[in-house]
Amino acid sequence: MSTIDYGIDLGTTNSALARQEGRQQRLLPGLDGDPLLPSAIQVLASGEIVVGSRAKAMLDQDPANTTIEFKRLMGTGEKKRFPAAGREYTPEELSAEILKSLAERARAADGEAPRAAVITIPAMFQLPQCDATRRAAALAGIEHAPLLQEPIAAAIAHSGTGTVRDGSWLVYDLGGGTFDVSLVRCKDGRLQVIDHDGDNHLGGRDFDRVIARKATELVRESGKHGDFKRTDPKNEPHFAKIKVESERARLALSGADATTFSIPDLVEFSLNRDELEDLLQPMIERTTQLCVKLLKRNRVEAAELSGLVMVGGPTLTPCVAKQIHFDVGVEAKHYVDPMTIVARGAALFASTQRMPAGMRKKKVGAAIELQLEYEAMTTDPSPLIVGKVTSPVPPPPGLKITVQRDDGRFNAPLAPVQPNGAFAVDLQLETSQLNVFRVGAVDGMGNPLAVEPDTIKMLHGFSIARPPLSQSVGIMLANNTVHWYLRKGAVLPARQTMTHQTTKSIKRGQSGEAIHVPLCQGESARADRNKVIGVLHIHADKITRDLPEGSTVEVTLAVDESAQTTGRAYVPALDQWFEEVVRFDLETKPANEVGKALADQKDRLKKLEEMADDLEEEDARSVNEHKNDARIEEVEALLEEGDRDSIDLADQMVRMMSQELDSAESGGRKHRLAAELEELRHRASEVINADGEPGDKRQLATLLVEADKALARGDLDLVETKIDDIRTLNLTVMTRQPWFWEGYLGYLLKEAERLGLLDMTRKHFERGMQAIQKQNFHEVPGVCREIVQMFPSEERDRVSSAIRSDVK
Amino acid sequence: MSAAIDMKPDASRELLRSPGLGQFRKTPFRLLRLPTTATAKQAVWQCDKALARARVGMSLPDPDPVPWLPPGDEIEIQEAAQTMESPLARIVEQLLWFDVIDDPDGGALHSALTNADGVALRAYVNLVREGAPMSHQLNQANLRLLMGFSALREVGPTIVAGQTAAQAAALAWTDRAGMSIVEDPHKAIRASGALLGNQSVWAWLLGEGVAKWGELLGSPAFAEHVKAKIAALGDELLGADDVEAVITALRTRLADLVVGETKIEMAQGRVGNVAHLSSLAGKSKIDAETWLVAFRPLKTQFQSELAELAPDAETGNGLVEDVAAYLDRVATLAARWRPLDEAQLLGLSALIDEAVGEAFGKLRGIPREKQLEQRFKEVIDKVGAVAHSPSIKERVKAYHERLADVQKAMCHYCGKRELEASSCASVSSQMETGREYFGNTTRIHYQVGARPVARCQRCATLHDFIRNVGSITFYTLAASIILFGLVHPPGWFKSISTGVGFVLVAFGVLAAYGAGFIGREIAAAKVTPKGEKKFGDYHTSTAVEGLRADGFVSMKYDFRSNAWELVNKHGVKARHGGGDGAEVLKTLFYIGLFVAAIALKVCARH
Ligand SMILES: Nc1ncnc2c1ncn2[C@@H]1O[C@H](COP(=O)(O)OP(=O)(O)OP(=O)(O)O)[C@@H](O)[C@H]1O
Ligand SMILES: [Mg+2]
Repeated sequence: MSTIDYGIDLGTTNSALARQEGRQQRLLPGLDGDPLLPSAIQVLASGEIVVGSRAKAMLDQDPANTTIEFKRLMGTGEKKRFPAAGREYTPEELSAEILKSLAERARAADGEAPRAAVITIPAMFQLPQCDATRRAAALAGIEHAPLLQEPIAAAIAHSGTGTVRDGSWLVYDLGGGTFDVSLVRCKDGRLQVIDHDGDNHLGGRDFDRVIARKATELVRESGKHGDFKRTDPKNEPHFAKIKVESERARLALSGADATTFSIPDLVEFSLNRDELEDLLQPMIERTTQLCVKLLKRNRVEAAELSGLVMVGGPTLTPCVAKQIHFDVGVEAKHYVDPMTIVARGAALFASTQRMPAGMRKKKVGAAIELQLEYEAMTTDPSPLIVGKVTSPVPPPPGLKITVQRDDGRFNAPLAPVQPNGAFAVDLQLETSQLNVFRVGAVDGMGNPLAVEPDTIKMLHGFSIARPPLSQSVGIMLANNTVHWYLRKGAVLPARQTMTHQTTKSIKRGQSGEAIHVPLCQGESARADRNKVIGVLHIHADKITRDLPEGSTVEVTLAVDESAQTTGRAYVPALDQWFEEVVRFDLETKPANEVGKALADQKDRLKKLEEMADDLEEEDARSVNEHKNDARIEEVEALLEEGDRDSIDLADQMVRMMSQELDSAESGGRKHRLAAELEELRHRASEVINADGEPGDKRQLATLLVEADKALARGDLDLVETKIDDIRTLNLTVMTRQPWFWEGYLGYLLKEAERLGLLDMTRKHFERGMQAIQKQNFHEVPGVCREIVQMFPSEERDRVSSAIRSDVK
Repeated sequence: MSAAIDMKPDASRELLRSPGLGQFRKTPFRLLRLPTTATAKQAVWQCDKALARARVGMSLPDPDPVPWLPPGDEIEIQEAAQTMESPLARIVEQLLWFDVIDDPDGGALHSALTNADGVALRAYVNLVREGAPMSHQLNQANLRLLMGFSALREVGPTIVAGQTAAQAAALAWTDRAGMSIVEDPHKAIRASGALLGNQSVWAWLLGEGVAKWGELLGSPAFAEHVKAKIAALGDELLGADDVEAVITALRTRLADLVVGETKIEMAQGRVGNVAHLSSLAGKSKIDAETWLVAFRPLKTQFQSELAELAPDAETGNGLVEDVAAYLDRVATLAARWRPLDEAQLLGLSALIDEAVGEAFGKLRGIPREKQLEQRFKEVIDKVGAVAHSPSIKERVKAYHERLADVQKAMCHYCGKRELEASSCASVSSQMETGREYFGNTTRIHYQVGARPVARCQRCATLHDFIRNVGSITFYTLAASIILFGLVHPPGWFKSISTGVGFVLVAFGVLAAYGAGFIGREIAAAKVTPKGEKKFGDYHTSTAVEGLRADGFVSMKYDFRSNAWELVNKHGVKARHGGGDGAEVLKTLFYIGLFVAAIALKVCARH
């Protein structure tokens, strides 16, 4: 076997394993005959680990020792404790149990557990999550595990199984925990993922959550269980039951029109399909918005699409297809079984991936060993196969390579082996099918020799373009900006080298000191909005010489097809390489921080709304979208719920909102600056023409000319500087005017009253008022300054910055 | 396969890093040996073959069209294929590559390139074709870019060779805006049959390449050409409405290439080359906005250079001198930078202005009295001189004006502190404006004028002290003389009659008055700090000037500590008649003393 052939869908709720056999995939079922393996694990008191449907069934009876949805914790430092056995497992150890169980299926069917398999991951998985997945594979004895993005796997299965479907498609994958949408296109059998988008925290479990929330509210209303806090340990079993029942009720409504949500002694209510659809509507709308955004970004009209492929269990909910059709304007269908399509695609992809040399099964006793290079899947009717004789070295003189198609209709001309062992053979393929070739060799005398490997398989008619990078990768610079190395959509594998300067010096051997180069992943221009996935260190105790500030450092980042990211720094001054990357777990934020971040976002949103008039139409629209953003309420509800998972989800949502606001803010920068300048031009001219001295007027005139010029040239940085200058000038002139200080003193008086500082500051205010009455205006600024000094320090900045806003 | 990072030796890394060369090195049309008409499908197939060959150390059989550049590695070959599959990226690459099919001289160009034949390449560059098809024009521009970048990195065939730099300098070079330019290199080369030194070669080639591109990007004919190429590609993801997107992408790409090379030159400290590159950017017809955005990342490097100039610690020479020294350093840097950014695309003048603005801010924070010193004014002028933008120069000018105003509002005597209304001295004057006669009585009309002499509180106190020294000297001397006249040992002054005695005492009192006056002057001389005006020096004040301007002649000066307040309260007349209560009491007290003494004396006689 020269290609990997096994594909695994390691899902949040369900996992599956498929094997490519010729043009077909075979799903490997478990003992119960079901190809789906629920991603559930129970750890018994004996330490025995129960995996799959048996574990899932225990969810409501033994919630403490049963766990599901651990995929969502991959890459975090969080561990799951099983009290009965008294053991703790990391998310990757739990995932490894699932993988082992799947591998066991392969062993049962094929007699041997796979040493290599393609494993799928959500497209929005970040580096630590990918790393954790690889670790899980290694724990399960899968030595070689290329990772493949789930939507790509689905697209591959959609286009490559059975009939090849040409055209552009949307692949809509709504799973247990994640949503991904990809725009794919298939042209002449070549599959290409053009772009994709998604939400790492949206899936069936979130559907369950809204139902559970309704049930919880009813329990609270009934008052029988006190305030029924989720964080209260004694409620844990109740919540586990609610969760299980929520899913059951929801699944029931996919088939029936109404059902009863019932947990004895806790809560009971009836739920019909319409009610469910109302509850789900905002979430489904989030997915369709992403679809629309994706199409727009790629300038593709819905009418140009050949269709939309639905993937994942929740798409079996009837209203999903309806709403997609309504919002996106394209018919949504299941073309392949939505629950197993990802595993099928993974297997198909696996059949294009050749086994690493060291892992191939070797036929013993072959005289000649070859290294063969070719693409296992191609649309090329006359591909090339190139090889090298790896043993014996050098190859026997006169050695020639023979290749025959096993249908006997094609024999390649004898290919002479060059002295360095290399040879090349042009092949002819039977189109649109699997072609098997026999490889052989003849020595100088024409005697056949046994070679290894002696067969190759090539599938004609379908091939897959390299997967694109799902999130941009870059390094964080000292000024909190990001230098992007590889942008989202870049083709993998990809690599980029860039040069930077150090901003601090380190001395040789200074222990603990290092130059830090943080690697980050995301899409925001502000470094702190992205996730730091690791830090590349240049350690002082590794350098051979002192490294002064401003030294050149060449950083190279490389990402392979499996999203494996490596970083390396080269310091020319030292002629040294540094490769040590400290990996980070995904950060998990405490609830209060998320709450604070949310409050910040609400503030920004308010400011943006005020500015919306100045924004370009498009940005203004996006601001308005945020205004009615149901997500704010959702985040608040999640924070209320307070469990780790809800908080993570809230954090994710807040991050996403801030990013969208960032782009709304920066999108219309030119337009915004122009509007700002115009407004300032009027305001400042009025003040300065009335109260300014001739020098001020001249200054204003030159500044305005300069700002206009910069704007016309498009030098926005300069425009910003000039706007600042005009503002300062305006302010300086104002502060020379009596009315300004009168106004400011009045403002301070109000503030003092508000803060209850009136008694303390009364004398000062009296002095200020008197000075104004006597027209001793020069005394007033001093008085104001003294008053501000008496304010508590955290208020001081605010009230003195009010000088910036205009008091007139 | 792994995306391992190659550790290549230093020299070839610089070559690999060059974005300009990278454009021609990594383009799919070179790495995959594809014609510009290749389909995406062909590219993918060719990629599979190239990869398979590369893995066993074989290269593609077709000749390398740019043999002097390093070959691509696996990742680059894959990237190349992927570029071909993305229609927009592919069109951009295609237009930045040589179209040897539609160009009537394409065959010659192709063989010149694959053979790295400098002479043939030069011949192509020198071709002048009227009404040449767009592909020829593009080839001309692209060849100049390729050869320019190659010459800059010192690789590839020399297309203009065998000439020393000194000879090159003898060509038609002119110095324009600090940069040397060959007016018409064609003519120059043809005329002399001569060739240029390396630096001039690349600057010339790149300059022309970028300029030609700039022109093409703005021409409708080019837009038509792009449209035709898009149509020929026949990809449903790219249509006629994407022409603008292609042109924008090309514009950005060109800018990035030039800026990328600039960054390398800067890191290597080759400032002359930086100047050449930025100036050729400025001369291209590509809009400033594109360049500004492209050059933006370079700004941080300049910023840090500027930041190094800021003094770490105070030198002890005082803030003004520190700022002055800083401004000198900034001025030196600005002079060095000026040729780098003639076109103002790097935003260096804005950086200088920012630094200068900050220095200015520091200066404004200096205490007022220091600001009035000549040195301060010089330093402020320096701000104006180093600054680039007129608005900062205006700001300096306006500041001078304000300083002059402030100076007027400063204490006339010390010139260091602001005046205080309650501490001002005053001058007053009257002038006859007319007379009326009523029989025996004449009524004379006066116009009265008074003005404050600007004075600060400290000077007022000082003057008060000086005045007190005067009056105390006078009163004590006068009192002692009188007392002595009255109460002396009976044997003394027998010969002097009482009348004469009185006269003598009067003289003594008079002398005491003089002594008081002298005492005042001595005290004034002693206590008035050097460089300040003495209490009596009111003639030069603006108050006197003002009164004179109003036609007043004789001035009455009052330097009591609250003289101006008194004038305000009681009017000019009242001041002359009265004086404040304490003064009156004091006088009364001394008179009382005098009278009592006489009374005593008289009593003693009898
Ligand atoms: N008939 C159905 N109607 C509605 N929802 C269903 C149905 N069947 C399954 N689901 C839901 O589908 C979800 C599981 O889907 P799926 O197996 O595609 O997810 P997964 O692959 O495990 O998750 P992910 O892809 O996010 O890792 C569960 O939330 C389940 O409730
Ligand atoms: Mg899934």
